[in-house]
Amino acid sequence: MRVLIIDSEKCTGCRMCELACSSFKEGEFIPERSRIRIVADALEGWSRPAVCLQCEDPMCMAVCPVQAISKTETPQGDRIVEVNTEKCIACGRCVVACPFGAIALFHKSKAIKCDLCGGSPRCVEFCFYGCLQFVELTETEYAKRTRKITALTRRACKEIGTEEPLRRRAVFSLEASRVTPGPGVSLDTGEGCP
Amino acid sequence: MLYGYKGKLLHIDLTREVSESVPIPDEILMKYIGGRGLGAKLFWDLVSPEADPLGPENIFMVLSGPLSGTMAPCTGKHLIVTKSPATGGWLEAYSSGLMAPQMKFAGYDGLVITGRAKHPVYVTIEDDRVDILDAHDLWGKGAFTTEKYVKESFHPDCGTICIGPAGENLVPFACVSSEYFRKAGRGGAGAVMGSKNLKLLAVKGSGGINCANVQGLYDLITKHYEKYKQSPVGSARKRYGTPLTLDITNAIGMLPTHNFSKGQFNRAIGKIDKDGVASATVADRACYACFLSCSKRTKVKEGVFKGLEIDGPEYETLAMLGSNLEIDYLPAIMRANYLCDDLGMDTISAGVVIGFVMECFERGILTKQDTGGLNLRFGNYDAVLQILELIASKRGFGAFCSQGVRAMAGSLGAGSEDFAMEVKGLEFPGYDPRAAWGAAITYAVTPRGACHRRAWPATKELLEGGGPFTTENKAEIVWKLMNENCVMHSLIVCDFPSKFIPLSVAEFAEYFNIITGLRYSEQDFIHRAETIETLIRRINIREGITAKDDFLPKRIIEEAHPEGPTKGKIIGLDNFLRMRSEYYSLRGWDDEGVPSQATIDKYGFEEEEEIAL
Repeated sequence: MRVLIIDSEKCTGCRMCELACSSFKEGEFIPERSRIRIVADALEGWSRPAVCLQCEDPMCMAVCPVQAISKTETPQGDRIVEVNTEKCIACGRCVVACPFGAIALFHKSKAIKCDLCGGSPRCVEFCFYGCLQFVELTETEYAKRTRKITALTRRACKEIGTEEPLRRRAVFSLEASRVTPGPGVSLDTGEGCP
Repeated sequence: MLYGYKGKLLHIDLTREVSESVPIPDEILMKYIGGRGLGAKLFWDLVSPEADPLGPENIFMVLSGPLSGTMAPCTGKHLIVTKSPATGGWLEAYSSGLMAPQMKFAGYDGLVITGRAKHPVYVTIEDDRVDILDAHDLWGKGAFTTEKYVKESFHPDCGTICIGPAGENLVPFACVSSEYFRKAGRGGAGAVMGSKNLKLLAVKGSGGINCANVQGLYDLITKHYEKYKQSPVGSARKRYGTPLTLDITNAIGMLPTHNFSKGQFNRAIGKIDKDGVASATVADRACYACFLSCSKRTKVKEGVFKGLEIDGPEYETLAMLGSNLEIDYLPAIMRANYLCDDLGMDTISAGVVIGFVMECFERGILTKQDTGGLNLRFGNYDAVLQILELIASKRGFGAFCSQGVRAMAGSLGAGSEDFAMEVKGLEFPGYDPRAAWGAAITYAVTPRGACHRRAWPATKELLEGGGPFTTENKAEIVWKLMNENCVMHSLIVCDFPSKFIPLSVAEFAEYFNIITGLRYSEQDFIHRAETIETLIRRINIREGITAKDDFLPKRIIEEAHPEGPTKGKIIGLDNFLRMRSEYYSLRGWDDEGVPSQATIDKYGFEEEEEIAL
């Protein structure tokens, strides 16, 4: 299956991903409602995207009191964690639970998060620097990634305590961007992927 | 309401500590586009000719354009418009960062700041909430510390503009900072903020920007990205950024060296040129919504400045604080760049100011007694770094330098006026007009003083027509380029795509049409550019600027470079006046540079609605 991977070193801070995401999802350029957000320190000269990892054991799903969050797949079989907006009661527990600040609530809205645009993520399409890629993983690679996410989630939950979501995003986005097996993954792994 | 625009301004009165939203009629937006055009309209309507640039009557505006905050590439720029303390006339200064997009997300096409706060303040704007806060603790702090404070205490994604000590101390070449290393550098906008006791302004918006045809926009961006990928010039620019320009200007004798007495600096090669900067580069950075990432993050790897990191230095800084001062040690230029950024000073004017006092020192017009013991020989970067700090705080010899070259030459006399490199009080940028004479006319007639950004005719001069050392067609080349840039700067698009992909006015017109839903042709835009240029001319005339101010230092008109490709080439007064008069006539202005009644009538200034606060 395919996953969104982030090569933080390549991010230049142009924020095109936020604009692509929000315009596709909301019909207007509104980064505040982008599912992918840039964390940056221009003085220190770095930036990187923060976005949902589509966890195998999602904390957001675990805490949802009305089972509005579930694990599902895009038509092409990419695993995603999805919010059923009809069921969502906008209680905000998922926002508090996600250690990566990757799910959000806005004024009078339901919880919103990345759903990989149904299998063709717009942020990847408009990332002109190769920082965001959508790549096919083998079962072994995917399992390795899942183990890393689980370990990071545990640690993040412990360390982050009551930090507000905005700050969580900043604290763990770098490590979150490294959960995918690194240099072994190439963009060219098509259907014949070993 | 038009797509793309927000249709209103936020007016903040610092004297009364109140703010209000001011609607802008659609007709005005449609006529003046935004950015530079809208700034001209607002300046004409709102800024009194009697207003002292550093008095509470002056108005300070931050403006966006119709493409700002959207995905249209290379549009992450904002524009500051105010009356310049350097020239006493029209000032526009551009920078990039999150300011323009965040203003739009907060619901405003621009901010209009009036009055003067009773004590130092900073202002935060979150959608329709405006807070005017006490800035005593920030006053005196560098621009970096100031911005970092507000990013941490207000919002990490806020757009900001702020000043350093130079702005507080009303240095007429104090700049306005954003995103730490981005500067609205020219003409002293930072001093205007300082005069208003305004240390910083931050905006965070949670709203969105509508676009008439989002899918059309996606397609257009993809198409232009492909075009850019095919462009060898575009790729080279992405790789090297603006330092690549130094290799070109040095080759053709255009690189200011030794206070513009020479046009080449051989010691630059491999040290402060594209390769010099590339060897210090550690990462690429991009402005908002840009796919060109021309900004270079550099780091000093060894020596006394080891560990220093900045975004830059850009070409202008390499030229004005490098070759112009005969400094070939990149880490020293980076340190000077860092100091200027933190102190809040324009690196261009600072370089010209120091070049001027160095030449005065060399000629004995200034002595060690005057300079407070500083040995101001060319190449002495220690002295440069000391002077920068003295200027920003107006201490010792720095107080004298902080006046700018025009005032210094005025008080020194002794022929120093001939090599005081300024027009209308604004110091020269990093291109010597003697290497391609079109720049002579550009520098003379551009409304904010010596400025290369209204038109950079050298490429056309070298590739078309009679070559760089003639007056033939120069006025026409400059006139056309100025019109094109006026469109780009009213949309507020960076200069890079138009020059290096290249994307034409017609191509950017497509972005405008797709976003706003209007249907403007290239000709519609050029007509608006003509309108805007004439309105800005009227502004400067109202401020008392005349043809005699459209003039160049004697060094440019009458001196030749001693060697290189420009050796022996003298522009001469007659040639210069001929080009100037041709330019006036192309604009429909008389011999004194005053727009004729027919021209004024043509652009319909009298019929349009006046904007009042």
